[in-house]
Amino acid sequence: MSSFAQLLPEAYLFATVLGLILGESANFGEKLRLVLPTSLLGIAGAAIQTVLAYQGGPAEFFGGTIVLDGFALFFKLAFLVLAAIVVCSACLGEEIAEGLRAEFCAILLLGTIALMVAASATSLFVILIALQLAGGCGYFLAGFNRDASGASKAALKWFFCSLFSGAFLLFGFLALFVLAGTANVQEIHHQLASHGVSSTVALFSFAVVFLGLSLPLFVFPSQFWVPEVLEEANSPAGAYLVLGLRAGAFAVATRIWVAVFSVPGASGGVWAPLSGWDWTAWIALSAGLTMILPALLAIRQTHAKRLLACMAVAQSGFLLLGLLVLEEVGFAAVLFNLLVDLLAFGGLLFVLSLCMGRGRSAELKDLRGALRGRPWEAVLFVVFFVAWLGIPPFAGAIGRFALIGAAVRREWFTLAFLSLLAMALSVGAAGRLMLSLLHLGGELPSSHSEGGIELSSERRGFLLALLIPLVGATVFANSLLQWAGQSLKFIFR
Amino acid sequence: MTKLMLSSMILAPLVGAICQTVVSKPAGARIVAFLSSVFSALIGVFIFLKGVGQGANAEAFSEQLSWIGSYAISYELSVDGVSRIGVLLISVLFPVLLASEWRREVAGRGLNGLLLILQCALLGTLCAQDLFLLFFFWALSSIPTFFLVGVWGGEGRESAAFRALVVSAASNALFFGALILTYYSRDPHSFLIRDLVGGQFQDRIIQVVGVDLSLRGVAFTLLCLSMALRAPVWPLNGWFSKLIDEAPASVAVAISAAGVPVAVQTFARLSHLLFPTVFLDFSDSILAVGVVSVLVGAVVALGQRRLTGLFSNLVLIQVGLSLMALGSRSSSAMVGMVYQQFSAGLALAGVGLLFGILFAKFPQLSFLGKQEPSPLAGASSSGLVMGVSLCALTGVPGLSGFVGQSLILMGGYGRSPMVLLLGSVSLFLLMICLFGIYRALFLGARVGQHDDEDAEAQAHSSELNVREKAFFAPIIVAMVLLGLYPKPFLDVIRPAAETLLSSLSPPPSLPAPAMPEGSSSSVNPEKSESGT
Repeated sequence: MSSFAQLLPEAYLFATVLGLILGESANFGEKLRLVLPTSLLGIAGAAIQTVLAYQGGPAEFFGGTIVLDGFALFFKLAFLVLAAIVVCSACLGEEIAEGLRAEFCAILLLGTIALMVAASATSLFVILIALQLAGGCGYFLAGFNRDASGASKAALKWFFCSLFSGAFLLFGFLALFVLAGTANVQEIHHQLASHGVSSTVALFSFAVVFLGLSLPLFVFPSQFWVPEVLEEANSPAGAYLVLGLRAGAFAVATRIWVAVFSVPGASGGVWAPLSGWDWTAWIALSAGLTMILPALLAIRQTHAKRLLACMAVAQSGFLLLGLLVLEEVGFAAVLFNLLVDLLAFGGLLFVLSLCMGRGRSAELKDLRGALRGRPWEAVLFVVFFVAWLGIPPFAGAIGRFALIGAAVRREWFTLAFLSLLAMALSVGAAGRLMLSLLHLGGELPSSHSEGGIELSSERRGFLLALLIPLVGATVFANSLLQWAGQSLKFIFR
Repeated sequence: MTKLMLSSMILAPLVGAICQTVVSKPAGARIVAFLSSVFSALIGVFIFLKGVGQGANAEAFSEQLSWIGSYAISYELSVDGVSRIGVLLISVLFPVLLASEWRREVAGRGLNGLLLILQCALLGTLCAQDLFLLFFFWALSSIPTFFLVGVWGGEGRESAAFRALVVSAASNALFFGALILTYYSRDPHSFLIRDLVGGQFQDRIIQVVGVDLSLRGVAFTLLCLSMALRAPVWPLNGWFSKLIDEAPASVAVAISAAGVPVAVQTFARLSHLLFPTVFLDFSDSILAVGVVSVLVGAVVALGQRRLTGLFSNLVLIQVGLSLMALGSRSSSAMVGMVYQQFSAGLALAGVGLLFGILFAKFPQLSFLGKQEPSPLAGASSSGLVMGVSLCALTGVPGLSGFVGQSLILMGGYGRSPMVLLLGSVSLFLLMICLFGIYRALFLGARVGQHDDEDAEAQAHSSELNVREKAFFAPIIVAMVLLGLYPKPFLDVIRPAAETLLSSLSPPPSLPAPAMPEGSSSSVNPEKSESGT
């Protein structure tokens, strides 16, 4: 019974989903819909319950299938914040029609439940199911604007990618299961560490698992789908895929790569690859190409969402830097960056979606001057962009330093060099988008006469709710980094 | 009382910038912007005055606060004689720049806000004593520059802003690389400049793309390239010319007269304090780049037909002079460099702002042929501002430029007589060019002089109004005063400049670093100083 009690946060969210569906079914055209407050209440309740559940410290449930350690706590809270951001984006933005918002939020909350389970699961098969469920919700969210032909295309693309990811993961997990005779990551680690494993088998299982995870991680060689899907998907769904699904995949990757394929090093907070074969070289290659290729592509993009998608992929390469060093410092840097991304990219996509309005194209030429004469939106857009890119003076710069610094500490100098190059290229690409939106002189495209953006007090409040913690993360970066570091304490028992 | 002096000075413009989004009326926002800049400027002037006559014992106004303990990053600020001059320059310039934009109608609040952010970033860069904090402010300064040009610039602003952004992004990335390498080379890791002084970090061989390189050499090269991209150094100055072509006058002045000196000062400080041995190895190259930049700037200026083209070459010459001073490794040249930056900053502000005003009144204005009539002929007030500024830039005795340029050339002579020769020839060419232009613009025949009404209207519009005279007045007065009585400034600069130079000599407690053969004779700045 106590095991079930630990799933109360997920239960809160599920109850909210049911509440939303019931509320929507009982709706007879009333003007007042309580989708946003209901969803936010459910998320807040789940967040409080998550913190309360951790009061007793780390623990295992369902025979070790689910754990609630600092790592899981961190990600669960991050996913709840993400859910709140996406719900607000959907309900306050223009892209999701009012009548469809309850449905959208219900699917989103289901996806959040799946992500929370994925972050706390230690059984390979629970991880697989949770990731597939989260991916399935991504499919529905990406294709939400059924009137737009592009949305269906985006959903279908993601559906196939998700299937491939699931197939590779299943194959890799089965290989590990056969090898160790158990599906629990910690037990697999003990089996592999005590009985040894041939490097060919370990290499094979690692490669297949890596291929499976590379799709939701947005990393080379499977990053190609991201611009295709994000270009057509609505902005809140884009935020879910970039900030939620990718973060979930990073949580799973950290747990599996470190708990299964690594052994603790001589000094605390450091790990070494299992059995003497260095799989970090693979990750390094993937990280380098993931950073540099999309950054180069971003320079030439003429579609705002594609451009952002390319840059999001490049960001994944940076995050891989933190993982491949196999040090607590690097992992903490990844967590810190994921938090900053959550706030910055969430705000960025929301302002962009406001610029686009309903049904407007995200081509740079159509967005030209969308922020002209709107100082509030312009300042917020620039602040979110700058923070997301890792340029001072916001927390993103500290996060970027922590990631590149981790690579330098482990003497991956070539990677550090590539990351600096990718950063410079990303800034150039971002500059084009910012200039287009701020275009001051000359003629504006005709589409701008069809209802521009309007920053209501609710929207302004939402953006401020993102901005204030972002500034706080800069000032109190140390506390945040320490919290991120402590979140790793109980994961590798 | 002096505890939070530097923070107040740096953050006041930032608060003013934030207020630009909050204050609803444009007039109110303008006043808030100006007052916040003036408040910061008054603190800057106070900080400078506290250093006058104090020599090396002047108060440093230090502030220290741990910021990100996990990475030993701290919020540490202080000033020395060199940065005091930079602070004073920014304090004088930015209120003037904001005043010059007083009547801007299109998106004036945005422009003022961005100028204030630039002021905050440049002040922060000068005062930061932690490398990460320094990078923080330095990278911040590239953001307003991009928007100021991209949004308020001329016809080709997007291309100019994009180039500037790419260049500054590359520069920031290189600086970031140098910073990370330096940080991880010292154990325990530290960003504090005082912990890293004298190159107190391990030099070792690192592998980049399979090539073995010395860590210090790589870090110093990254720093050099980073600064060469931000301050226009020949042959990397193409983007800068384009930027100046398109930027509004106030922005061009902010970048040239304040941003570029800050870049040079930062390079001087970091290269001397963190990489003394590598700097000694590279000092000849730095000297050569400086001489070539001055020469190229002067020759190209002779052929210019656009005022903005001339302006960007004037900046190139000033950067070249600074590099000559750094490469000379002489105390007088170092003092001259800092003094010249202040003096040239004022003169460039005078020329740049006047160009802006004249362009607004006469959009077709360019260098007219000697025989062609000029709309500015006989304009007394604009002629006076232009005349004094050009004289200061060419080093006419009695004005500020003379002191700085003489000290730099004297210091250069100690290193090699060719430096003095080439420097003097370049400045002579510049003088011919500038006085030729002055003659064509202000001393020739006036447009429409046979038509009385037309001539009167032209004469009236070519004169400065009261507001314009008010913001040019402090610049002109400062240029004259600096030329007549430079002692207080030189006294403030000298101790800090000598401290910087002394860091090039190995400390007695440490074993002397291995130097390449033949370079040891020029390590001691006192020795080269004796030549002067």
